[in-house]
Amino acid sequence: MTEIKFKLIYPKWKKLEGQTTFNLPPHGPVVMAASLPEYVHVSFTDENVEDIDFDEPCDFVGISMMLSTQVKRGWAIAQEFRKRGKKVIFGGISTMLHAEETMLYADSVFLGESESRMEEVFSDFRNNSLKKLYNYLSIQPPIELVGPARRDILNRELYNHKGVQMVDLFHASRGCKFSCYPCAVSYLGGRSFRPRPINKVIEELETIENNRLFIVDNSLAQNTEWEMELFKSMIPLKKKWISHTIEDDPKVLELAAKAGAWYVYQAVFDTSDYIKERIKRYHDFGIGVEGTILLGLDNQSEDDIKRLIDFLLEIDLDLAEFTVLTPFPHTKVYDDMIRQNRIFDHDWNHYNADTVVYKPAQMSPERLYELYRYAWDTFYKDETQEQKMFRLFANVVMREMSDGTFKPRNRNLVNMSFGKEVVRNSN
Amino acid sequence: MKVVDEYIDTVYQFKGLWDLPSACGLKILRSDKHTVVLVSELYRENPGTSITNVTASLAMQICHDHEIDPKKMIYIERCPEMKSKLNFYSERNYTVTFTFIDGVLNNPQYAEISLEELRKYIS
Repeated sequence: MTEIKFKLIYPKWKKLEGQTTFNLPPHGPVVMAASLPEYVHVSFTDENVEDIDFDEPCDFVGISMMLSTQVKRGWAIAQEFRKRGKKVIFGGISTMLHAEETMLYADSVFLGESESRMEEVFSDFRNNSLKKLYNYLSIQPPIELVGPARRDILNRELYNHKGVQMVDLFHASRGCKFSCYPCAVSYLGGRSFRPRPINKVIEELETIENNRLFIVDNSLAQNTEWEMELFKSMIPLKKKWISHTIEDDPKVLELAAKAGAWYVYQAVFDTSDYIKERIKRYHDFGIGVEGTILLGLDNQSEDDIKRLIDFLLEIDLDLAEFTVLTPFPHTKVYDDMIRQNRIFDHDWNHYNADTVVYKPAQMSPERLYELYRYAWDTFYKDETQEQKMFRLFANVVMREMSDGTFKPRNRNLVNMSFGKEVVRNSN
Repeated sequence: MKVVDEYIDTVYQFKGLWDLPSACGLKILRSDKHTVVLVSELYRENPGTSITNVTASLAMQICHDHEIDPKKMIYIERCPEMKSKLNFYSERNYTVTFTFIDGVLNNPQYAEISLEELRKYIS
């Protein structure tokens, strides 16, 4: 069968000011690429780390988008390719969140999960009968079909900072049984938790050369038996990993630590003993904690925000990431804001969790932004974000050295950062 | 957090955005003058689109299935109390008005009402 040259693009977005910038290898495109038919040759460009060659020979263009801040750039990229006579299909998380608008810029839009669906899409493309919409939002493929992602399409050297390779992204489940206020995952992946079979997870982990991973699942704490089985099976691999929440149960935490839990993200939404004790339990098992702190909730006054920041310093968080509440489509916060007519900024480029796009309940948007800056500045006043990150990094290096998995940095890339030469200060 | 609410008589299945199978709580009160339609969000028990994401389309589907004249409808969206410690799951109620053009409801406009006002609508 004649080969189809498929150009897959991951649009760039503006990075947040004042924060350490890292470019991680994207996950959505490599998962999607694994579901392509054999006759499709894929060439991938992550615009965050390299420029797009709009004249690269190809038959068909795919644009994969994860963030709301990517969609406008994705639409512009599509226009460039369509001007050159190429057909463009969109997919990915933010395509699903912004599907109606995206259809205005696309020859085709794919909604849902790609496993077992791509043969239809590419066959239609080949027969010149590409559909405007492939809607598989409500029909998820069996979770067993999720196979090892195609990480071979990535240019690994671009995800490297001064010789240190960035973590690889990986997922062990889909869907989420929780309906958290600011989150759209249950809309995107369904409201039931769909864990991958453990043998499939381990099979994929074994294919990843990188020892350091980011398990991107929304929450692993949704099925204790599966979670414990997962951690038990991961122990022999000696990987070191970051993840979102894991279950706060000593027997789970013990297994997680043995399986290589490096640090976890933990939402900190109040100053309760519950949070304090939870953080302590992670630390007791040698697991670091990066607090994720949402500012601008309706119940937060200025004093509450200041108290919360003092509390974060008291509880010895390893890192903290502050974000401004952002009403992403298909979340409860979006519905609430729409009903209350509180959204004043509809520019998706501003939906970066660093910009106030709505009227907060207890202060002006400007004051909320000031407090957001105050939170970053205060938390990192005595030790910068880079210094705190270095401590966590040193921790993982020590653990790798003790279990024989440490790989020194790539000396050939010590003068490069994400594909660009490092400009060193001569002073 | 299962939604149990005195303002829900039945669970109504509807087509959400992109035809996603979706569900909401429904209570209909008919009188000579108008019909009150009380639509409740079900959160985790709603497998698809929220009621607010497709307000006008959902109102049309209910009018069609229950033979309600959209021009004589009082439409109320309800976020039931979820007994959560997080205050954004406390009870909120909104009346919704629409423009009605060529037999189709459009442009939903929301106005928050108190529980007392809600009770007046359904008494």
